[in-house]
Amino acid sequence: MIVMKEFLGNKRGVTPVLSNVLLTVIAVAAMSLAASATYVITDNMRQIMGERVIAEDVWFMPEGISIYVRNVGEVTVAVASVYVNFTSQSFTPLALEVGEHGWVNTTLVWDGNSLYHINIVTSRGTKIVDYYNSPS
Amino acid sequence: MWITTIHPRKLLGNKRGISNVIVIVLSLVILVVIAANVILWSYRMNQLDWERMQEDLDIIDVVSIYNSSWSDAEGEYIISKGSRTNGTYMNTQAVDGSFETFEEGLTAALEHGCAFRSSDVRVSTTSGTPANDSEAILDIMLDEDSHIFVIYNAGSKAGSAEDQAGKGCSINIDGEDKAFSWQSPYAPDSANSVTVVWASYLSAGAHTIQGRFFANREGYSVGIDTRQLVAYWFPTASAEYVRSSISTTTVSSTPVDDVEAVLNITLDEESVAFIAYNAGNRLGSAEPQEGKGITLNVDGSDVSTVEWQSGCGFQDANSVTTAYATLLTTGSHTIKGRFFSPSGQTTTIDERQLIVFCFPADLVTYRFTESASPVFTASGDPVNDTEATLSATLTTSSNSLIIYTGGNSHGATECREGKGVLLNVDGADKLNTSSWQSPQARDYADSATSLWSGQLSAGLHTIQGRFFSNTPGSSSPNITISHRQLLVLSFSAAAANYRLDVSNAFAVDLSTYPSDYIRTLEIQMRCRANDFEKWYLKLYNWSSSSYSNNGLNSTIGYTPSTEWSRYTVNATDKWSSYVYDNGTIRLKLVDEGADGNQTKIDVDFLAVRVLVNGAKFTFKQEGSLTCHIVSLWVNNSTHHRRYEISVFINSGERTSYVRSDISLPNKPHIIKAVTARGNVAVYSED
Repeated sequence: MIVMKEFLGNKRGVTPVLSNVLLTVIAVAAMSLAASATYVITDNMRQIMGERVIAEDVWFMPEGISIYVRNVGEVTVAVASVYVNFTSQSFTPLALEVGEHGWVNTTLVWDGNSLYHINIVTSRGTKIVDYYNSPS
Repeated sequence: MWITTIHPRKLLGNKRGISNVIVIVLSLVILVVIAANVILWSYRMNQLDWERMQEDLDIIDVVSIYNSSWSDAEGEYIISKGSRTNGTYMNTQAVDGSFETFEEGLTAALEHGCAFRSSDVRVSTTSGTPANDSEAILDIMLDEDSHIFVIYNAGSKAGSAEDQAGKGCSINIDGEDKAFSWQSPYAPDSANSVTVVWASYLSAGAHTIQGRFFANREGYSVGIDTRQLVAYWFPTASAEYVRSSISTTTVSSTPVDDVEAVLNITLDEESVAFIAYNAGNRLGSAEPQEGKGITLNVDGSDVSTVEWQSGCGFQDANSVTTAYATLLTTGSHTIKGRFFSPSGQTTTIDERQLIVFCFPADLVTYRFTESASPVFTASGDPVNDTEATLSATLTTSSNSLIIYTGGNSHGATECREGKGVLLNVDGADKLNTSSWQSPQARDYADSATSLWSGQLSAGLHTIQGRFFSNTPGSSSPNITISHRQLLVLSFSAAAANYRLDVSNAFAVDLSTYPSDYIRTLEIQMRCRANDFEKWYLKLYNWSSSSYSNNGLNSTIGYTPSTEWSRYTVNATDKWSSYVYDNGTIRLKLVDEGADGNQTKIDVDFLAVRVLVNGAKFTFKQEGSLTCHIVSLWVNNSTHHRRYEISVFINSGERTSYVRSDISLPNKPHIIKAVTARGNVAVYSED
């Protein structure tokens, strides 16, 4: 009771506490924001850096061009776009876990004995780009 | 460090102390996050890229393959008969002039005795109780207690005096009638034969076997024109038999069990089983004009053929016989006699005899054929039943039992006077084996049985079942044999029996050559022998638990000369029965059979391999790291095919990889190998 009365009687007792608490809250909030932002930004960078995709095979089939893709990186990838001769193509959606592989099928009508520039773009922007000659 | 060394009271007294700590700690967190997500990860991915650059995979060669390498003996041969006189199993692993020699050893023939009598002297009786057939007596002497079977077949031809109620026959042993059977002809003086079977265990010593006969109607004359009486006894054979006079009936037109004719036998080795079933009813028992049919059931499956017989009319005497021989595996077996009524009316069995005698498979030569292809004739002279032909090559002089049953079902072409059958051995008709039978009426069921026993010399023998019409002269066929069974059992009578039987295990790599892609199994032997005996390669059938050469492309064996020569056989599409789940194959080399020459055989090479339609890929890793190939592409202009693989290749190494499921397409084609790190090696062939 005596300590409580002294504390309440001290004109400068409340202000320092409040200022300390406020300063702490501000510091925590600011640093949390900074840490979160850093984590989000660097994690995204990490995923971009971890993408490695190869095209195992390209098959010019009567139904269209099919590309067999393998995820050889460290993160899951999703094929976002397929460009053939710089023109976007419709394709079967494909998401590959690490080590997985599968066909990306397009329905492009191709010409025989022609050169095709095929660009496969993942959702994080990684590209597999190469020229392929169609069979005659 | 600065934080931890500061005085706690000083720190607590500092208004900015807590916030400083938080800022510093969180700053460190941010640094750690940045370091982990960016710097370390960047290092990791750089390392991955660097490793990927260190891979330098080449596809050196790609070729089609059609067989595996030879799998040779894994250990010394197991010698069941004979002996090893030179070399070891390792000498059989390559064609190199070093060889292993096996020599036949002396083995005992199946201990047995036999007696046979046939005659065409006519006897007759009017007695209603059994009277001796004076032409059917065997006086035998058993050296040891033995299982014995006796078959008595006696008949009268068309035109001989025979009451229409027919006759009965019995087998009498040492003065006691043991088994009975009855039959009635189409009409008075028509053909009529009866078969009786009996088996038992007789003590050593002298015994008298007597065939006896009687009139089914007391006071009416019946007779026998020819008869065959045979007895075989075996001190060591496995045998089961039943003779029952409990009446059973059926109206079923499909075979049902004769519950009194069921035998169970347990074999401790693969055996040849001789089975005979005789079932009949006496005069007065319920029996339709269409008569009855019988068949045999072995381990739950009916044998292929049946036999039928019809009597003189309703409730007349009627019996039917069938004989069968087959190979039974080690273990328990159940043999049943089955019967049926072709008309669906009540048919009766008043007495039946079922016998099963089993002999070690390597101590008996047996041949058996059965067929349901009809043959016809109107000839009164014997003509060949083209479906009843057997040939056997005997390595030694052998006591041989031959039984032929030929019959027709109800509805087949059959004249009222019926048919006769007899046996022809090596081109000579055995006239005393003639047996005649007549049906109830035209085109009714009618079967006849003929048997012969004698010693056949070593060499090739041909056995022919023959038949003839009891009413010859018709311009069109008037009798039929629609179903028949013909069997030959030969027991070596030679004093010296040399045999060789060696076996070994071989292994096929089923991980490299999965069973789904194996075309067949091939066995090759390079050998020579000091005489011209025939040799067989047999494989262990894991399904039937026995050695067999069934399904091999050649089952006729091989006769090596005194010079080195190769013998190759394959297991056609039946190979899977011979390969165990783990790839083990058991192979046996056996001689043709017992003979008087002690043959030596030198085996320079004996091995097995699988035949496939596959491909062999040769890779080389010239980089500084081990690489892991994870997929393989085989492409041509019309065909892109991906195969999952998992092959690790150390730095600088060359590896061959065989896939029996990959068949290379027509050229030009491209082969691509993809590594786990994402490199692709390409091999193309124009």
